[in-house]
Amino acid sequence: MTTFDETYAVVAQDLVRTFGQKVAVSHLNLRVRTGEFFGFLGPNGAGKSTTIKMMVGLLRPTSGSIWVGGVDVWHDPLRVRTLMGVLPEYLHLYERLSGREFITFAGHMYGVPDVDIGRRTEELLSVLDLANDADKLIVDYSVGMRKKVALAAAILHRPQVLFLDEPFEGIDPISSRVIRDILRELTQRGTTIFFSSHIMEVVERLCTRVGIINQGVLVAEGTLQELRERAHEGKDATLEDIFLNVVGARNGNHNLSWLD
Amino acid sequence: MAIHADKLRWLFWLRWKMFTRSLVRDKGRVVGLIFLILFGLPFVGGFAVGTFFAYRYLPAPANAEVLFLVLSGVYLVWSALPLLEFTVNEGLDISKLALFPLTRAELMLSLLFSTLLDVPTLGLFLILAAVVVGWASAVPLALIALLAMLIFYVQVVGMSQLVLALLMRILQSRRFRDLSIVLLAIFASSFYFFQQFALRGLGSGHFVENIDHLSLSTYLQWLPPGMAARAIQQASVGNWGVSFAWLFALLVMSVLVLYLWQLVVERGLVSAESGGGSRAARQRPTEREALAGVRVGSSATLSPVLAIAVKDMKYLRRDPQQLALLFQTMLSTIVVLVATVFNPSSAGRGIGSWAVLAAPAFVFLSLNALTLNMLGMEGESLTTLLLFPIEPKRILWGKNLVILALGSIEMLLLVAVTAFASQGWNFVLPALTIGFAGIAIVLGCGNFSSVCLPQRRRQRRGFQTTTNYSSESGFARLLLSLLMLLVTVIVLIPAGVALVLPILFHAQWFWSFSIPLSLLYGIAFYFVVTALVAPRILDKAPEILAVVARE
Repeated sequence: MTTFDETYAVVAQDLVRTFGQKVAVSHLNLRVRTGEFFGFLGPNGAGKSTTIKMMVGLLRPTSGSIWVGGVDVWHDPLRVRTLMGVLPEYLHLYERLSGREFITFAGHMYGVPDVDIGRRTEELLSVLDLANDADKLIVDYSVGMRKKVALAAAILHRPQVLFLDEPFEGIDPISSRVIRDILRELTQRGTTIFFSSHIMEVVERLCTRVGIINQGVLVAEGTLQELRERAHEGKDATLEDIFLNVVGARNGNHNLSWLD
Repeated sequence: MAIHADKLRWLFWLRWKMFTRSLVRDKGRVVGLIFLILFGLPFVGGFAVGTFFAYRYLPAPANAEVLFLVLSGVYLVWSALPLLEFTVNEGLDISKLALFPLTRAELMLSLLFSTLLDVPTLGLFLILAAVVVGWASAVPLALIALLAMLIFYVQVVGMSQLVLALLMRILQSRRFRDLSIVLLAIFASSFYFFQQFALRGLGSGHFVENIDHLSLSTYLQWLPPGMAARAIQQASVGNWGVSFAWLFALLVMSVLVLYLWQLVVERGLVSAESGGGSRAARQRPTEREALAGVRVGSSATLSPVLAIAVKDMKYLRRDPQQLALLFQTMLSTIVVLVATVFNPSSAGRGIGSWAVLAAPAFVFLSLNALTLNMLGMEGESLTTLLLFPIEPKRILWGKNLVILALGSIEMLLLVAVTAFASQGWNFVLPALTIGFAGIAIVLGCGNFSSVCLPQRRRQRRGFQTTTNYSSESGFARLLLSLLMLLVTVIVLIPAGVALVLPILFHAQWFWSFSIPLSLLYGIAFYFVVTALVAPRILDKAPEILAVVARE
């Protein structure tokens, strides 16, 4: 593909990444439509985080191309960064800044007008239930609080495309609900969300389309209904059933003999 | 209180595994261990031999006074050791062991046995062995000394573990870890002063008289190490009854320490499950207000460059490693300054006016350390920074702004002090102009090395360095800093020539041309180098991150 189709917010074309002999991502082709809530699933070590890192410009692909918001990630990295927000798997935040200071800092980095930075920061802190701890240093935050601060910094500038790698890990149910609502609202207002998660219920509830990667290969992609049909599962089959079927981890004896 | 030998054996196995795994996984520890064995143990061994001769050949009561001092010193160092060199050993972490059905006695015994795997314990054995051998002029005396040292060993280890158990929560806190890094930097930097003090004390030639006059034993005998020393000293003069009385007192103290230790361990077991939950959201109002002030100020009109500079300034204050680095670089300048200006040997004749012109050179040296690896100093947070849509040159400008501010303050101070000491006020303006030209060159060279030769920053933890640090990488790091220093010096030569040549040819009027030109040269060098290397930050972002922020 040499020209970009505007109906797609994220396009990965023939993406390959190898680490020595190991092929982490193999010839991955993927298109995510604008405004879509795309769930990216796969077992541990399947290549989810590697793919996301390549999409956001943190890891150079061995071969292949990626476009985000119509911009080639590796040809115009600065422009593409203005379009996207990222919540990486490993949060490398500025731990010696307070939560409020970090979000404010991110606002300045994204070039958000000064007036908006203060207002949005306070709103985000309040909505994400961080207001009471906003002046504590991030180094003293729990995992969930770090995730929330990182999310606030990622959405402060209203990105066109939001990449979230395991956003719900370590988050309590209340915050999880709040984040889900925020993400839903973002997609309703046109933001495309590309996120990976292990929590099937969340993916099932939020995503309009799902891609499943296994051993670096995209093994399935489509709406839940399409995946059900392709996997020959009944209409009541859950995403977990489909996922286990697709990655081939369905059957097997998992009983412990000594429990009898 | 039940003690299962099998559990003890497995607890010792756990400790052994943790010890060996830490060596396998962290090359820095292996290097540290080798250095400790090659240099630390011979040093302690030499000390032990020295004390042996002191016990044997110094006249009484000087030999006994030495014994009091040595045992008290050992006791103090071992009690303070957890504060200086605390690392959470998973094999000794009570909060983890609390998951298993272990009795207090099993926990305490396992902790006691595990001390045998510590290299410093070997040093302790050497010092205690020197006491036994040094005072063993007869078999009964040797037995008393041996008994005293055995009880003293239990006392020392018990006290050390008691301190550790008591302060476990504080030691594990982030604030203490931060403080320990800064304190160790100060300790390492102050070594020069300590060395001077110790050498002068030993070289005074009145060591024995001084020891005798001190008569510290009168006070020290009421402490556990003093009790052990008094027991041996009394036995050496034939007062066996008094000797046994002191030994008994030491035993009682040791039992007391063990009992207290057991209480604290028990408390630790009970509170392990609920640890760390209650300190959320506690903050002093003043701190909160101060931070709120920062917030209001910072959300006013900050461009990305200024935002990065403000962030870096906060980091210099809050990140203990950066604070330690800043302190070390500034301290070396201050030491040089104090040694030059206030050295008694040069007080009579004062210093020459040339010192004003030379002063900026110290600033270049200290800034060199701060600029060498600016991206690397970001650590893993560099991933976050590179995700922002900010022009790379602005990242460098923001970082350079902080170093320029620090360097300017340092230079103004140095030039002012040297000008005052030498009364060379007429050299102030040339020195400052050349100084700023030099700072621009140092920053340019720093931008080059930071972008083209980034390094992963070393994580300091007490005396140890963690993550990706080996003798090889340490050598490469040293070589690189020397190379960059050499490059910086070479680039600085034209600016130096512009300053020195007019003096040599007694044509200082030429400064009105040469010094502004050197300032232009410095600024041009800075902007050209920065413009050339900055795009590389984005172009090579994954490669830079692979070096600096490996996950």
